[in-house]
Amino acid sequence: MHILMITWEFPPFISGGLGTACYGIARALLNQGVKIDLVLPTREAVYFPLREPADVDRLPARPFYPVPVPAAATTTAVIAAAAAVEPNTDPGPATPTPPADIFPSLPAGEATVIRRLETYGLIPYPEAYITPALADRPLFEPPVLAGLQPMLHDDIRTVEHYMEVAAENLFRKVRELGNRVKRLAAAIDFDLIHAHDWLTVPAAMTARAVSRKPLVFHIHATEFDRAGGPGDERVHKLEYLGLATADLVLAVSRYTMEMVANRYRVDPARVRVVHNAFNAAAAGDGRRRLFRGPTVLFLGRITLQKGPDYFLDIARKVLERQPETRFIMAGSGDMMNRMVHHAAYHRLHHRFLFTGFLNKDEVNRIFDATDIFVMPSISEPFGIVPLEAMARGAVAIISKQSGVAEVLKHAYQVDFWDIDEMVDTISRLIDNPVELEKMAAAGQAEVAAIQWDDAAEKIVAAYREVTC
Amino acid sequence: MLNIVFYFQVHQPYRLRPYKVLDIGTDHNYFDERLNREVVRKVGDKCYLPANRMLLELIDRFEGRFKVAFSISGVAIEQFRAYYPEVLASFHELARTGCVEFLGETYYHSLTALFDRDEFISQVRQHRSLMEAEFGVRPIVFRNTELIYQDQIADLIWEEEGFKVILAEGADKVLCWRKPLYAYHDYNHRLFLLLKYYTLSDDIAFRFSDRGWIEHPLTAEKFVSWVDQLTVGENGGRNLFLNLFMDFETFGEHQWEDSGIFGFMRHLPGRVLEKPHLAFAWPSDVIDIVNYDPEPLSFTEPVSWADSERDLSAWLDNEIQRNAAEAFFALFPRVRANGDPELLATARRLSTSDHFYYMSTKYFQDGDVHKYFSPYDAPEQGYLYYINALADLEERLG
Repeated sequence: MHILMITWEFPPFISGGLGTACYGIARALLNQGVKIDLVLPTREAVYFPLREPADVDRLPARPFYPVPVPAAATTTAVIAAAAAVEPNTDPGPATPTPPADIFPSLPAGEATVIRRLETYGLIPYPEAYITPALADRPLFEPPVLAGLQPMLHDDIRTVEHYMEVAAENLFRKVRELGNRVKRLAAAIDFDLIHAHDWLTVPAAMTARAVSRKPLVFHIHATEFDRAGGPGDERVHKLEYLGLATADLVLAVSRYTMEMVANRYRVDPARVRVVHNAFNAAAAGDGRRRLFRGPTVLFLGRITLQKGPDYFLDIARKVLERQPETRFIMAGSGDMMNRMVHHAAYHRLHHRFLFTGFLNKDEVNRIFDATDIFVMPSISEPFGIVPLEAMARGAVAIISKQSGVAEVLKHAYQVDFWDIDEMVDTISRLIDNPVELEKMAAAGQAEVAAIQWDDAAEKIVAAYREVTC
Repeated sequence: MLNIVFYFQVHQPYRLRPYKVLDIGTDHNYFDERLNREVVRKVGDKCYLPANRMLLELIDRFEGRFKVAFSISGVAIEQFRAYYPEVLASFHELARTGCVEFLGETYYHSLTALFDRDEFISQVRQHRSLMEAEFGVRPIVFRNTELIYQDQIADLIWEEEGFKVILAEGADKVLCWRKPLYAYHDYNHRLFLLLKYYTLSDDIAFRFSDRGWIEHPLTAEKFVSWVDQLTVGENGGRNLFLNLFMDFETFGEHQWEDSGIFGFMRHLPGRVLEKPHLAFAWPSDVIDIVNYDPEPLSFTEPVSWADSERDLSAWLDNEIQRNAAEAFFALFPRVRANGDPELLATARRLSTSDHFYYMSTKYFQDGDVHKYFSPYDAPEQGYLYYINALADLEERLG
């Protein structure tokens, strides 16, 4: 089985859970013997042929100009492709074999991979989301504008213009990926296309049309989840197109299957549920506290979908009863500044802290210091983070409006809006260290059994459905 | 007689490094040593060393008739000692001329006067001991951080033995029809008040190099002609005080050398002393030369020299500033009770007003613009490092 996998992000360059999930899926598929040609929104015309599990960390790359290079050919594209190839690999006229790896003897060190990926035009923090500030909400509400000098109105229009341009950039990149995949799909051979989320839809549809191979569209999140209601119309339309043209749809949870069935009228018979798993991180050197007091964590993008404002309300109420508790809001996002000012407004002093964006290692260190992890998401198609937190010994309290709730027994499940219930649960756990410890141990054991291999088996079964 | 009273503020805070949540419990160093050294060295070269050399020459040339006052924060002196001893030596040299008065303030250039009276007094005493040790003088003139003053501060200072004069901002809302040129008393008739003449002070400190200013370029002649006119209304022979208070960094740092600020200052004393009815004085001279009974002035609300508002809004305006200040001053008594001298010194460095100044959002708009700025440019970043440091400090209390 040989698949063309199109995704928007892949570690080490990720902005959300999509990249992490793709990494786990790809590695497990490779374990099952599936060959993957991975496509990312690079600026350069390269793809990543993954053949063995370790390739997910190495990310070997290959330019994809089909090169019967005649000596006289001097188009810029050929020059660029030739220049990207090691000088000792001769792409001579008579060699129809594809060029070898650009850097054949690459050390596996992550830093090297990062440096190399940057030369392909990938950015470390991919813009995978249209944040509300970038979309249709005005930057300043009319009452603010009313009090301002006319000159300042011009400044505001300029800022708004650039914000629109930033959103447009995302769509331009989506279009560019589509164009690039058109050439790639014609140049290489594969059995089917596996594409992830709306950003890859134009590319996936192009590849399907060019190659006449089936398309499996994997939906990790919908615009309804991200926007907490109707969102950007363009995104909705792309999601609908992907769902409508795919030969089979994979959803990360029953919650998501119901979402696409209800909101996009997709026939559930065309949808298969494949729950996410998580990547067991290299065993840490054990738990290390930051604070003597109980530590409660929020980790994720600080954006409406994730319910950071609920977390702040929870913190306020818990701190009234148990002021020795420490709350950490980890991550960044369009609501971060507002959260910083709200926490200050409520005078939570230094009992409510912010980390900003964290890398993989820092995330693990924050988990190691966490007693209770809270995911108050308004709508979470799956939600891998609680699994990662539980694996490192934290007790999870998760929103019922999440896919991960379908696979977890040893996590407290609460409606995202039920702040009092969350507060009571946290307070009770703080007062009962024995219950906390018991739940943490049970949770750790439970998540250890959740493996990407199970997900990969279901995915391969889905592949068989469309290729046979 | 009109006496020109120059007072220069010298201060450098211990700026925070990007102190992260994950540093808590393992790394207790909150301050950016590299940055602080860099700033002290840079300002030393551009301002402190050349400006002190200039003052020394002027003092020599006018044989005691040119005199100025300095207020140097304790944290500035600590950093001179650590990062640029030559700067400290140049202040010693000025002190030895006997033509420089040193004022009292809080050692940590802090906002303690507004939050913690005991700590305020501790820091005033600590600074006074430093002045005695460094310059062999015991200040009798007090100026609070950023010229923040209100009636209660006079009461606190009065209880400290030896202080006779306080400096404050000549804010319109307090003076109303009065002129800042006269000596005043505090509301309890116990201490002298000298009030900053902010238009002429700011002509030097802020407008000097502004090419859009109608009076640009400002020459010593022009400035002295303005000063001269100030005496016109005074027919009763009362001694006037023109209080020119400013950051010492005005010379060479805020106003660059190529603006001509040093040339202006070199010419000014000669032009002033040509006039028989103009002289230079120290703030403490008011005690001896005032020849009338000063009117008491009540400052019911705090007044400062910062921003156009001349109130506390530069440090305590938005929610993050207030939360940071309240968190610090709620924690501080426990640090003091803990008794660990190193912990106490570290905590006191966090009381410095500049930390709160950096958190001002007056000129920033909310939103997610912050991510376009580097960490130090966003007020929220400075705030987050600050409360992270407080969180670590509390963990260290045991």
